[in-house]
Amino acid sequence: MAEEKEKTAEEVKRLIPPVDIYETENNVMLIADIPGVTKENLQVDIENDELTISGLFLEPKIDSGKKLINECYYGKYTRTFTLSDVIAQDKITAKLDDGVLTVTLPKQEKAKPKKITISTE
Amino acid sequence: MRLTLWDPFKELMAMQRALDSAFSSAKITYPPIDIIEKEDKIQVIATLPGVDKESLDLTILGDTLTIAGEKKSYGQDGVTYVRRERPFGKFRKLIDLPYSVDPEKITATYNNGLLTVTMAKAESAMPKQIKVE
Repeated sequence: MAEEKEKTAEEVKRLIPPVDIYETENNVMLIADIPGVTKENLQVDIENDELTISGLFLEPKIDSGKKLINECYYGKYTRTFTLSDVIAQDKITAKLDDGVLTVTLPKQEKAKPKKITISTE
Repeated sequence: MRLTLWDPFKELMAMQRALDSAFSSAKITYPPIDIIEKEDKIQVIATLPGVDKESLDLTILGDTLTIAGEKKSYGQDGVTYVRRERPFGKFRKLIDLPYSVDPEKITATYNNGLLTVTMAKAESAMPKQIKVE
């Protein structure tokens, strides 16, 4: 089952969602347009300081009838962003409303200064 | 290793396709739509993420369906944008329907950023069997 799902995901077209990124006092906000993606088909992952959005929007099957006009794009929305160390990665939240994904990336309380020990021999 | 002949036509075709897609997407007015014809109805699906349902204005006049509304930008004033790619503003799209529809039998739903308008074909647009005497 999982294999089958992966296979279909590979065949689908890659879509790049348009995004807005802006900064407020406490947060960095990332907003992406992903029409047609449901919560179940959406994944937001953080790995190696990278945030990846991937959402599936497959063309609905038409049992009877035919498509006369096709302007919409179907496929898999994918986009990766590199997170700076200003972001508190464990506090990231995301919500999906009407095909718009909003990711809130809170800034660290304090940029922690690094202590460098100097050793002498 | 297998050697393959360089096929200039194949590359030309690929270039043609790339050019076609670049121009065809420029022609489309917002929002992009799909039109599906079923036996007795026509369905228009529009990808419209983040639109206030209240701002959507759907009208039908003759065989033309108009989708109008406003897509708002979420950003507050005074914030610094790092990227701003999402389209916003007022839109209006006129769609010539391939068949006459019954204006009394139209339903519209808005889910996950998809607007779906389902219209029943008008009686006059339905196929009729003619009996040969």
